[in-house]
Amino acid sequence: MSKRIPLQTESDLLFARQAAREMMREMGFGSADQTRMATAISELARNVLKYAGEGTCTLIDEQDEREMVLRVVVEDNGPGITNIDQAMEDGFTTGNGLGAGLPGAKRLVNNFDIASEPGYTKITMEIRRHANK
Amino acid sequence: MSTTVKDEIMGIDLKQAIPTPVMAVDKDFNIVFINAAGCDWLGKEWEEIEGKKCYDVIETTLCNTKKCVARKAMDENTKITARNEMKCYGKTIPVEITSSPLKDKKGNIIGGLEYIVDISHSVKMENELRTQTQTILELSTPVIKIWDGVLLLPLVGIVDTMRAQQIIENLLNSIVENEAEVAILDLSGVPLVDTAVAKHIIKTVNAAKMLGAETILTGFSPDVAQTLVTLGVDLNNIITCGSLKTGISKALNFIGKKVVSYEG
Amino acid sequence: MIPILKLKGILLSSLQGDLTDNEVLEYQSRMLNMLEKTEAKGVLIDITGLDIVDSFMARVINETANMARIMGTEVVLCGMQPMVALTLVEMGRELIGVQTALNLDKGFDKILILIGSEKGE
Repeated sequence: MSKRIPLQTESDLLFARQAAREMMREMGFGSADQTRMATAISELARNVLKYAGEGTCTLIDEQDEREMVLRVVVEDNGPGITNIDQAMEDGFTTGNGLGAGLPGAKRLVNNFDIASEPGYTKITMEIRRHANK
Repeated sequence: MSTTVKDEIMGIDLKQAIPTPVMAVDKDFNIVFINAAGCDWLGKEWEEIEGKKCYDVIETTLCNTKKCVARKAMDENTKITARNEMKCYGKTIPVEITSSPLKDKKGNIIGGLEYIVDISHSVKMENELRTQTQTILELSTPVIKIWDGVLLLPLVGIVDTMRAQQIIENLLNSIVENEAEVAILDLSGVPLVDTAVAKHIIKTVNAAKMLGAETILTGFSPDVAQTLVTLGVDLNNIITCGSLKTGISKALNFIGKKVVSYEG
Repeated sequence: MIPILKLKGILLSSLQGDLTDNEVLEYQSRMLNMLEKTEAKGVLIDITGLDIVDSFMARVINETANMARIMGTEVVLCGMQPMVALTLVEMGRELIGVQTALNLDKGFDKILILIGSEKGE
């Protein structure tokens, strides 16, 4: 199951993080994980709106018998991140004072991957937990 | 032992008598031999099996993949064991398959030998153990309200990352639910505190502080204190007490209460 | 618009639900203006209703508190959700230099104590 949410305005950002929370609750994730992912989406979506103007956020339910997995893919056609290592450093920002966006989001999830070139950026995040039942 | 009995036993085809499936294949996975137990499991006669590919007959989840034990045993020239699932008397059961390479006189690998063991009992035990571990995990992190506004969380046993996460969430939720101004985290029962665990503890203290509650750490054993200092863990901004007793007294002071002797 | 109420020399406000960046920034400047106008001694911000606090929101809260303090006011933040606290710590975004309290009740007590010393003047 997957859900694609366009990111064009600030209310899309708010919608995307609530949609992720809702989906995770239905999948059986605890409230800590719901908050982690919703916050991480907020950070990334904010970057998309600021640097690329618009993009999309896709929520994908990847669970199997052993694990609950939510994968979130945030994509945009903006200028791209020229120096990923630098962008992942604490305190680094090219906009106006939001340095913790990427590294902060990375610390909240289990897997975090950035692929970026001029004209296309794709960030993939995952939270995975052992299924209890 | 009399020679007659020995001769009689040695006269039996022991390969056939092994009470668990044994199978030999050539390098192209054609079945060269399968014993009686193997035929029984599959519910087939030897005539039906002879010359067929092993993956067409036993149909396990690893068949025809890189993880096939016979293939690995032949490729790597060593004994390989792996868990798998296969049909036995019409039912799919968990099995352990061990394979070793078969060589000709010059030492060239010409095939593989496999023997298959039913492990449904151990798998069942493992699952039970897992459920029990989960239960113990839930039981072992109680949050006790020892006074209005004071919580005690005694940690007992090994704290791994998964458990540490659970403890943090549990404590933070309890602080808000109970409107607790102080929480005591007692480590007397924790034999080992490594950097990862120390990080989780510091995280808990910082998160509790943001909520508006103080955390007092108690029960550092000499070993734990030594490890933490050696590891360079910074506990400077954290309130610590040697014993749970002084921790409780400090916590009570914090909420404006005091323990005094009762004298007539 | 986020309401800001004045109660016994304290500016009281409650941040709730999904707030847009503009709402938050507008709130910040209105709060500082009101501080100047009303000469309030304390600011109490309740965030019980925020289930997500990202780095932007954390920064605004932090800045508001620091600006208010420069203007000679005490600030207490109360009612943070436990999982919000955990998330902020994990992100490395601790709120530094802001006094906190578990709920509005305790927050009110705390701010009264903080501004109490000036009461006798």
